[in-house]
Amino acid sequence: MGSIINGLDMPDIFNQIKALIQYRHLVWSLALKDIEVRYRSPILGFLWAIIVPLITVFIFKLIFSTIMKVEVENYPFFIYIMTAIFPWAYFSTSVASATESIFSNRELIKKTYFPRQVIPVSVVLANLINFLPAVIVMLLIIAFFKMQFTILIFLLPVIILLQTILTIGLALIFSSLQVILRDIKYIVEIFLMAWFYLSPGFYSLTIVANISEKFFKFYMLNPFVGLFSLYRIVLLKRYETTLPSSVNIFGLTIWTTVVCIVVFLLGFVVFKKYESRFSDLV
Amino acid sequence: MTHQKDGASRGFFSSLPGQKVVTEFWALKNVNMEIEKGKVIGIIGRNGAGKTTLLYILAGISSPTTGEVRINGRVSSLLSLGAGFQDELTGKENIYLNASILNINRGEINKKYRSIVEFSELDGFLNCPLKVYSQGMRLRLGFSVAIHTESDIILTDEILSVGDVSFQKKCFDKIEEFRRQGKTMVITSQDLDTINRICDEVFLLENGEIVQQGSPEKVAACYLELLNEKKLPETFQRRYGRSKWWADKRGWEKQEGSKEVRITEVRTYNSRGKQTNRFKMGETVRLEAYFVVEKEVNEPHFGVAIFREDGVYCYGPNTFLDGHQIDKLNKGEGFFSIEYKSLCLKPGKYRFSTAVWDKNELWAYDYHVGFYKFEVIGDNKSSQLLDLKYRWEPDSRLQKLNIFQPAKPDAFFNPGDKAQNEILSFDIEMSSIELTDSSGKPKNVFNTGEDLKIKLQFRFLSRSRDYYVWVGLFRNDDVCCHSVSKKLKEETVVLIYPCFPLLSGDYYLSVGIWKKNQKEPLLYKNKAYVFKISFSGDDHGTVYLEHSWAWKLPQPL
Repeated sequence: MGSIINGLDMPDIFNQIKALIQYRHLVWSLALKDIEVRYRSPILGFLWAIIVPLITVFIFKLIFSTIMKVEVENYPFFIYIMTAIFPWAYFSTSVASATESIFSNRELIKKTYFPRQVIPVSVVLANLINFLPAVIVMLLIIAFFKMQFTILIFLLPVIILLQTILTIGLALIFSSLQVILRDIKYIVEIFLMAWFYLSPGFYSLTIVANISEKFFKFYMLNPFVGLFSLYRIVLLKRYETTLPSSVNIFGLTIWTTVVCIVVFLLGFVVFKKYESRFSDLV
Repeated sequence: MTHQKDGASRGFFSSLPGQKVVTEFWALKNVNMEIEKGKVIGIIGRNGAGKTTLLYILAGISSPTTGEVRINGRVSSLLSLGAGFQDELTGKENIYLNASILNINRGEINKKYRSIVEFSELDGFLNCPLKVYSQGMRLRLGFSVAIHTESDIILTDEILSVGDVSFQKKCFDKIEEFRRQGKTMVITSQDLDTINRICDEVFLLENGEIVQQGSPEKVAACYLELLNEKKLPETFQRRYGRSKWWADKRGWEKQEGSKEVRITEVRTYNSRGKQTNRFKMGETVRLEAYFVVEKEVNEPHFGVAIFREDGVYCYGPNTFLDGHQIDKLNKGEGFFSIEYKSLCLKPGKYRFSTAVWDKNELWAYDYHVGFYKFEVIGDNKSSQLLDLKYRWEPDSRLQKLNIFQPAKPDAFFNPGDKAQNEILSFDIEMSSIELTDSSGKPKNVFNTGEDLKIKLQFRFLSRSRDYYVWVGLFRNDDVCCHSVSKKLKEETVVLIYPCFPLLSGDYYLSVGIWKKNQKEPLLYKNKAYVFKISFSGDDHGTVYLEHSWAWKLPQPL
């Protein structure tokens, strides 16, 4: 049961992705509209995309390093947390805005036809576009701190891509669930907050490794452990040497990649399941 | 495109702890349709019948709860214009955004941008943010973009009911263009006029089910019957109902209409220019209606109708049927007038109705129904309606002095009464009756305005010669339009109506023979000859009265 339009039988992930590609200009337009609307009015415009995470880093530095004296080996605290907080900002705003995105676009949903997955994906794309200047600023700051880059820097786009597909998966899941259960956005809020603290954003992995081996194993399942570590590996010279010995970088990378891909695909499946009820419930 | 679908439901459920209440509402049930390429399909029905739900399912916006839809071709749905318009963005940016939503890719948008702007007539506003646009401007923008989608199938939902009249005309013209291009269209509308004009096939939905499908006329009539049970405004019914010949007298002395234009006074004048409402048979009559325009209207039409007191609709021309165009009524005062060259109504009491209609002659701005009484003076013992010109052949100069009119023959016989259909006599027999045109060719379908020749052939069986022949002309709803009589001297008589002015309809002739001063006829044949009149126009009423219009419109301020 379902609509068969133009010979495409929709309930298939490949067709969902195909439809996304077919409507890519719409994904782009919606993302651009998002950005333009967000930054058109205020005085500093798109600079806010950089200023907000930067201020967050300052605050964290102040609280965790200066006041609480959390320590991180080998690297300036500021840099260490920046390499996590900037990507995290991209991730969490994407997921949070995507959750409400189907609702906030209810007019479009009710009145026009296009593959609905375009909406959460465009939200992620908008935040990605926001993220890129922040990446440049991040690189500049690292250079400013006279830290050298290695050849691994060229892997940065790959890590960003990995994070993006994880983000898209979660955006699809939560945006569709939100339509069915209006409470999801509160759960997502708590979920994101807890998740950040459960990832090595403002503390090093060594601290966690020292708690217990069993706990550490569970801890490592968190894909953001891998993602943060990967960001730091490509951005910070010889970060891999500071990792606890029990960490297998190769295994970590594989695991992270697998989780990202699985969540990505799961996102489409969940989205498809609830998509047909959007126009009735929104 | 072919599709079949079964149903769509909207389930509403509210759950309290420990309690589940489920109410189901099936918006569509058992809907099965097959639509051929290139056809224009209309979907009509009352509000809540399921038309919009059906269209949304076709558009892919809603999914059917059970059943499936199969579509072959690219679909463009003009279901709601300007979906996704962002007030913060400029007109130009919104065009691009809207076009993306409608799946027109970037390259296509660039190519069509000029054309979109031209159609919308919004050049110069495109760099302004959308929030400064008026509702009409938004609609124009949305529509412009929407019609530039390349598609094989177009769905519209009441698209013609928004916007001002000139915008509506633009929409309508575009839809006609799509039709000529062979695109398949599915339209919902409450405007039966449009549905009639452009649809090939129409479906009637009621309570989510298809209750009728077929030709526009048939389904529209069915729809009206459905609405009839729920009280339809009378002006609407008058346009489509079978009331071209009779008025519903319950509507008399009422004033209906939306009152953008108000008729303030109606004056009637006789042929000598005196203002009166008593006229002589056959004289020139002029009616002037004064009106005040409260709100500007475009392309109005004026109409005046004449009814007999018993409800027979004599004639009701309007400027629409006569092919006049009145561009605009500005605010202010004005009048319109109609002059009937010769009001050939038999003496009796009548009424005028006056109206100012909208451009489609469907919606009345002001309609005074059966409001203005007038009288044609004289003696009329029969129930004849009209004073038609006629002559007999052979004719005698004394004919005019010797008109014997059997006292209301049509009153003795109820023409519908089958038992009285025929009375025979031993003294005289009617051997034939023939209706021919001016060249002598026997016909039974005539055009209004043609010459009608009625040839009667009798056989005298006895020596009496004191007969009078009577011919009655009736419409098939038994209204007596005219009757004549003459002393019968020869066995053959011919009655000629030059320029027969009766309008479209089925008619019949009845013939009777009387002996002078006798009440009962010797011979009577009811419905001796049945014939049809066909009129090229859509004029309402019984008889065509030559007339001319004049008007003085309020000047623009």
